[in-house]
Amino acid sequence: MEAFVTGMGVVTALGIGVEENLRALKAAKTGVTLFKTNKGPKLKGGLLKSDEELKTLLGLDAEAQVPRTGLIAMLACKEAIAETDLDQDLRTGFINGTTTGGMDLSERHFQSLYMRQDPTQIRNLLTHDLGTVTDMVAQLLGITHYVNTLSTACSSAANAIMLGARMIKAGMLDRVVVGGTDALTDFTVDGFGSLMIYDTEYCRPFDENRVGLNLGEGAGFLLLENEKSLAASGNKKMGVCKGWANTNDAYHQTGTSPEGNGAYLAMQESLKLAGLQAADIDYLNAHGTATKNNDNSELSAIDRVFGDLDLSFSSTKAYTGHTLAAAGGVEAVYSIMSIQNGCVFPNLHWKDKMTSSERTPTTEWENKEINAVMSNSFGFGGNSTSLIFTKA
Amino acid sequence: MRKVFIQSAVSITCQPSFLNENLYELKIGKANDLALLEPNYKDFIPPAMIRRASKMMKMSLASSQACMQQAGVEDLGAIIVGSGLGCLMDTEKFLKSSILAEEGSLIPPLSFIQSGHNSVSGQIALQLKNQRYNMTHVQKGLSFEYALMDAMLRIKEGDQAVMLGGVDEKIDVLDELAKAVDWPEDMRNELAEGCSFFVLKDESDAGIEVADVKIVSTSKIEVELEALLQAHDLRVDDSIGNFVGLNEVQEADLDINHQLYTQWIGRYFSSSAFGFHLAYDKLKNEGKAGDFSVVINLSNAQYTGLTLLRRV
Repeated sequence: MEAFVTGMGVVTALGIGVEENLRALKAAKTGVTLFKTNKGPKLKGGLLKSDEELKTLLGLDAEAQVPRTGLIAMLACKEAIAETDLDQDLRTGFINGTTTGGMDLSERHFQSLYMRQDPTQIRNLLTHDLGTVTDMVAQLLGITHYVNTLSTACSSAANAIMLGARMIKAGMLDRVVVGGTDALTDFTVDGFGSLMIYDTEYCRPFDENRVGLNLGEGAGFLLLENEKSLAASGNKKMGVCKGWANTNDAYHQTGTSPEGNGAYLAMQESLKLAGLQAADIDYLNAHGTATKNNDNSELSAIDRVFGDLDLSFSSTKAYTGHTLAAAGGVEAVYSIMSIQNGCVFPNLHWKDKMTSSERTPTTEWENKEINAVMSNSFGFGGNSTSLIFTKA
Repeated sequence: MRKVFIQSAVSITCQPSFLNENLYELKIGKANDLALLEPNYKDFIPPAMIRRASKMMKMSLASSQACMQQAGVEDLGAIIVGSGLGCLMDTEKFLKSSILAEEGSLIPPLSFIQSGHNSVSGQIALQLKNQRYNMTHVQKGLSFEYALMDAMLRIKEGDQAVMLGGVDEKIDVLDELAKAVDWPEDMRNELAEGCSFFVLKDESDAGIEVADVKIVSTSKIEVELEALLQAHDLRVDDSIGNFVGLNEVQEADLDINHQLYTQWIGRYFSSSAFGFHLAYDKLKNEGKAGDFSVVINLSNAQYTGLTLLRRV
């Protein structure tokens, strides 16, 4: 059974909703800006709205204990299901990919505990775990049949989309809201800082002189439906989730192999499952974090898969920052936008060709018919996922 | 339709479970000491890894390694782990160093690297040099059931062998949190940790099949169990073992004969993996063709996991 994409929702530093994101991508305008943090100013792709403002937008009580991860996921999911009536006799699922969960609130407890020996904020830990955040969003959507969370670092959302598509294909679900969410937290900012892969300037994916990534926050979700669900919802087909694969680089805890073995396998297997050739891919939305290691191994893998083919590819991370677990969800939405609008998004801030490959990313907005898009997401632990979306 | 069988099982808990058979014969009543009984890790993990790794990582690597040896399997099509809370020890450790760090100072990255929820499945892949599907499910008390569903789907999609595990570790903060939300003392005292790993296959000698797994409403357990068994032409009374575990609920009010396994090993989110191990052992050692066994995981007031194992 085919998994049709029939809805999508996105929240990033570029704004809330598909329209705002598309407008910023068209204007080649980054959402990465300078933020004051506990540890000095940092460039981040933060959504310029406070938790309170987000709660107002969602009609939630100001006192409600909902982590920021949950708030942005709720906004994106509501957009993804739009007018779809989920209150029907169909098997409906929600699969969320996330890594930070309620960490933004947990930090407040530990902050008060370690800095002031004050343990009274311990109730902030009640929403720490990832499943609780997922449950909150599922409750808002009214989904109870299948509610699950995947956490595989920066490929989490892509894996949630893959699992949803597999379950539809296997006839286990009729429709499923899939994607991921991650909010900015001091934990992750300091984490990537400790690894010394955080760029203090704007990140430059696939540029020879790239230094590292900028973090971002966001949520991106798709509604996937089978034919039966489509007949009930009357939704329009935006695309098909046609191919997917998850592999492991099995090379290092955080780094990826120079040849990009995991990435290569993921791209190859997703093509095979989709029944497509490399030449059929009209646009590749790369993982492209702008770290030395990732872009090098990803480009090696792209060269191995696409050989002499002229491939339109770009990373959209310079617009949004690296939204970690949400990246695969945000970029899946961008992939569908590329099919709908017949376009390739330019790779911002790119100047110099990498010496390891002859291939260069698309740097100007390009209009062309897009029949098939590949979207790559790679994470710590060697976790590598490729998704392929095609025209319906 | 391809069937799914259990090929090997290894658990580390506060009971002498590691590499022991017939775990359902532990019959030691209520556990008094919930301290983890750890094996000699040197037999399974390189020394450098033992020094760096958290308890959760060490027990997972040792169990998964032992499980591979037991299964006699060379290649795995997938490594799938369920964990309710992930790597808590390293998460807390990095949080502390990050909060206390001076502006501009360098924080050691190791605990950040090891704090990721998927570091267990990733490290197992690294240890086995396995480049296949690698997944981590983190849905609180249902994490193991969702990992199991994924593993079964992988086998139905064509994998011949899949590594499946459930693991959670305990840190002191969990006690304090349970106190803060007024968990009764007897529940709080049962907080524990442990792991169970399995190799599932599309065929096996012992013939213990995972026939079904379902998430149902906790308020309707008995009706749902009957419906699930009926779909397989089975009756509750004929079960040779009902293994029940508690997560966020205080007690099991069930009208069927059952063994409460969380009395033996304590409460942790992925403890139903141990219940799964018990049901497997029971069928393997005492069952005959056609016998079945059930795992009932009371996750919380809303959801319960039901898993049906059968000897073919």
